[in-house]
Amino acid sequence: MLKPRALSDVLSQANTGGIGSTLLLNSEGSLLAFSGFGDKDASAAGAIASNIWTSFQKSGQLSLDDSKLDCVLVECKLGKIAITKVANLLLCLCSSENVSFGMLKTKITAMSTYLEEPLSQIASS
Amino acid sequence: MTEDLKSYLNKQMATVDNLHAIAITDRDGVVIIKVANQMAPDTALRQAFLSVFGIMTEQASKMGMGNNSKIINFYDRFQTVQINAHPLLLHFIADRDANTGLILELEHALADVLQDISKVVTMIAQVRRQADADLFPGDNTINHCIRSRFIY
Amino acid sequence: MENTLEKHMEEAFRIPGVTGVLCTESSGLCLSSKGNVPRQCSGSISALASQAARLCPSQNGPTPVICLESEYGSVLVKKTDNITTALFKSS
Repeated sequence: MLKPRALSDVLSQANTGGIGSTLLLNSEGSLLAFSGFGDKDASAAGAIASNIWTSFQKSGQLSLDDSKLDCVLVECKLGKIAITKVANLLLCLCSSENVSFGMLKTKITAMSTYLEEPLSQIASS
Repeated sequence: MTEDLKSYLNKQMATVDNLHAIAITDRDGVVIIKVANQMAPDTALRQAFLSVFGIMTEQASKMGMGNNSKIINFYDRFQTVQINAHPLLLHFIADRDANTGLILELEHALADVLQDISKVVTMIAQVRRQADADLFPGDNTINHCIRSRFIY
Repeated sequence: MENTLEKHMEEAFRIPGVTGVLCTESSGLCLSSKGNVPRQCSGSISALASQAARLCPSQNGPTPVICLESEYGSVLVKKTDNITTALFKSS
């Protein structure tokens, strides 16, 4: 079975060097696990992140020769967000604006590779 | 003017390997100018695809992190770099393995072009608004609001 | 997660004459930078490294080191695995 504590421990490993929070969302955009500082409204940001993912995934499928979406990077004035898919869930990293895109992308890729196997087991059981 | 602009965009596009298309649209994804090579999927340069960024950049601005400035998508075969250059949107469509950093640097090379186009676009909007006001002198603000949603 | 990288970059930055250090990942996005580095140069740095690797191909051997010199200083660029590193030096 899934140990929620262990999961948020893993997620918290990404929260260094300007990365404020790490979220795990289900495909509807509800928050499954969260780790981070501050209590900014993570669930609202999570819902929007999931909406962004779904829209671009669909439009890519339709308009980019049936391409599969791997990773989304979003830059706002006061922060950056990275979104990727792990098993049937979405992983989302939120950071301050001075974290660079490369670091964000590398971290989310590492995190999703690490979580892919255990989370797929849960997804299939 | 358009030809000059197109050749400039083509020249900029050639500076990045595997960059297939550059498009400048209004915020609804209506193409103002575009250049593309044969590797770019036709469907990726239509409004249906380009308008998605217009909607998503508005949504992303509501995440509590200030206004959205760009969204980069990595697909398994392509990548898109889309920049919100209010009132315009700038779209790049490239191969998955193209240099994303170089594409981002192109934004500076295109800054002047974007500024010129947005001047024209704002001017047209003003002229249209004026024409509207002349045609419908009794037009109230509600109608005006509805219309201005479509004309900047 | 990124402690080791930061430590190595800090070390390189402390070398006398070095004014800036920058690391980029494989798609030309900046991983991290220290000191005085031109804004948004990570794409050019990684493009430079891959162009140079094409000019002097070496099977399994070390990748070339690129040195750019100007009257204000020099830049050293080298690609290792998926990371490209640039060192900015003042003359």
